[in-house]
Amino acid sequence: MSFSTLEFIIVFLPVFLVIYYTLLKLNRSKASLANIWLIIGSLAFVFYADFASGHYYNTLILVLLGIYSFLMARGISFLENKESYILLRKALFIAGITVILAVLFVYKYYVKILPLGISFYSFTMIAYLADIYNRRVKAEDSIVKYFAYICMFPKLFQGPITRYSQFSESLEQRNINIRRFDRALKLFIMGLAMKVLLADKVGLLFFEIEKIGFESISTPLAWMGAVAFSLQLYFDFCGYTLMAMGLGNMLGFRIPVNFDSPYASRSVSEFYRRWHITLGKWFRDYIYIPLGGNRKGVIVTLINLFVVWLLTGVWHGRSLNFLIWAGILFVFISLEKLFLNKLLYKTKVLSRIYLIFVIVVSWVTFAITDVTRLWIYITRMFPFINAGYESNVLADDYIKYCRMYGPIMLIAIVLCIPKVYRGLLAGRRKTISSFLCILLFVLSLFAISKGMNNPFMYFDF
Amino acid sequence: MESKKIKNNGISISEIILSAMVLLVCLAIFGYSIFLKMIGGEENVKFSELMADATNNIHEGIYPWNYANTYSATDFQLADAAGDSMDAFYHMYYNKKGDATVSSRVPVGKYGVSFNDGLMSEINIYELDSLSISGMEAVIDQAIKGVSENSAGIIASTEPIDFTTVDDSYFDDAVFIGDSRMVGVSEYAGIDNACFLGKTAMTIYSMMDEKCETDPERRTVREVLESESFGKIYIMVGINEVGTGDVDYFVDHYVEVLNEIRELQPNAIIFVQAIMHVSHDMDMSGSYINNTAINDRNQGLSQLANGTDIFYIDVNPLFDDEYGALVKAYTWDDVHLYATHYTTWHEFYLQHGIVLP
Repeated sequence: MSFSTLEFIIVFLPVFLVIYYTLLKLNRSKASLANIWLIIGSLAFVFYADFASGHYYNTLILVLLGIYSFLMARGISFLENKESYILLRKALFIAGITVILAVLFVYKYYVKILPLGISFYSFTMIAYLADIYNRRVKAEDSIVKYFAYICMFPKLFQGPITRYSQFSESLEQRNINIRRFDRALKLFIMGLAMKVLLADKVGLLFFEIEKIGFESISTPLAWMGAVAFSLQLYFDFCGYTLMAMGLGNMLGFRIPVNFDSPYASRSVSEFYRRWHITLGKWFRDYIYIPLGGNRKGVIVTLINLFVVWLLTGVWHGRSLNFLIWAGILFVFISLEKLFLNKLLYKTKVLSRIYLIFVIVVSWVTFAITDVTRLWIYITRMFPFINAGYESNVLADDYIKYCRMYGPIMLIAIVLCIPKVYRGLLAGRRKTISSFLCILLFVLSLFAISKGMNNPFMYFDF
Repeated sequence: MESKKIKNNGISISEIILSAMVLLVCLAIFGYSIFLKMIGGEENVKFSELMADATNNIHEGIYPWNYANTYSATDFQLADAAGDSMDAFYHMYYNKKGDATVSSRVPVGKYGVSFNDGLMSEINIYELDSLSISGMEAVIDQAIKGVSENSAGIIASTEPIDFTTVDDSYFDDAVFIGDSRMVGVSEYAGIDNACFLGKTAMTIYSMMDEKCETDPERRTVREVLESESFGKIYIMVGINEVGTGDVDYFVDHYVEVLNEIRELQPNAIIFVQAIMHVSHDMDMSGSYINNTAINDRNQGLSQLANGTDIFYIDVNPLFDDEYGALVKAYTWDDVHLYATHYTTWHEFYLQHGIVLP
């Protein structure tokens, strides 16, 4: 269950918001009642989704880990100034992180259906504990506020990984006026349209290619498919994040930005500072820097980078292709750090071509889980690798797909340009954006409902 | 644009008015399409169906009430023991005939049974299992109508009386009409000399009027059949209609289309192709697209063959697994073959040519 379903948009959200705003107003902006309602709503939302996947006790994991991390944090904070308890404090911290990571690890590697959001909320909890241990923030007293922070539905499933310090004030008291609501709603609609009208449509091209079978696609089509997948992944995730930001703003919170037009970057390192920003920051602040970052010499820097990327690959999934993906990125980022960056940042165009090339190929390794099929696809992209997999290829197949998907891919590419993207988001201020958003909203609802009972989304056979 | 702002920071009157106008226009389009659906008519069908589909789904999404199936899933359908479906069949036959002439069953062969009234010849118990309730009804209706001996029977197979092996020149005057599977044949089977009139989402109801994506000039099927002369016509539709209407409705319409084609192409041999199966996963998933429904329709289609100028060919045995479903390894989406397997299909066509004396 996600934000782009009718049940969420038409049933859950209005009902939730009406009661939420009432509670907020009743309490003169002190958020305690609203927080309780936020917890109830979010847990109900998670439970509904977990129930639908058949694993209704998964919600319990969230609650239990929440209580556990809350108590551990209180303990660490309590022992903050007690000299003789330094070791105990450290032990609590390590125990806190280890249990959370263990639960995450067990689920990721041994159980088919993950509790929804576990990859994200476990990281949020670890960040919380680490910040408290490092005295950057004080542990939250109120379990209600803590649970509101952890469970809030805008960021629970896939949402940005946040830092507690950004939320502590708004958990206490928050304000919404109609103008903020208007901006937030428009942001939500833009994210929804990005996901449902753009990402889902563009993604169909890769699906068509999968149906043909990788051994039977021509090289141009292979590249088109890789680009289409790259666009789909971006707009799907970015759209979802915009929805999360919009929803968070509707609730009175500031959700951090997760994407900053990454395809305009000039190096792979820069790309991953602009793609899934909060995850990158998490790895930087809680793994890379504690290990020493780049301050202990070249060798250690490379080792640290390796560790970070190994963990990133493992975090994304349990199959080999994610390790290959992470490996490719590690190699290029290391090369960039060693000498490539100086060259790249001298050019405006060549560096961007380099970036697109590396990233598009890396997304292919991310997209295809089975390593054999992945290799077949690579040999189609680089046909001079004579691996003999080619079978029954229709030489000009890409022409048909150019006609079908060319326009939408073009629109998607244009939206990758930072000026265009930022302009769109800033355009929420303008009058015209209101009825453009209504149009997008209606089209999105139509697209969602058209795809609902069809097992293959918008497909006809 | 400076307009009067409401006290509550930043929303202007003009924004509200413009937004309301856009909303009203959208609602008007929706309402109009529902109106069109209500008054019916061929031209209106496509657009209104599009919208009605969406509103249907919105309705279902918000109010999770189930719509009843067109044909009810009775207990008969759930029975999987040969004896139960045989019982069901027997009782249905008895009720439909309305008299007492069907009083006993006579074992025939290893798995077969026939009834003592002589109308039904051998019925195979295991083939009976794969039929739905309406499939059984169709078989019984046919028998009662007094259809000739050759076409009575559960899973019809046209006696392969005249199939011969041919070579590629056979397709010089052939046309292939059909849905996305035919589009696949046009792209990957390696038949270069035939005419292909394929369109994804083609149904028997839309067939004659569909502008075909495989035709360089995007002509409709009717246009092409009116302007050119063919010696062989291959038709494959059916997967897209599995959710609409029942077998009779489908087959009746198919007959109408065949009649029209026969008028336009008096000398062509017509090959009615069985609908290709879907994979076992999809079959078991509870989707309305399942092999039982497909088999029912294929059974109906097989009745259309007459052995003189209309033939029924079934490519399923080439791609079926032990469940009678499309082999999982041959498909990605449970419905379409990988491109690499269409060459097998080409071979199949070559081995199932008909040469009239």
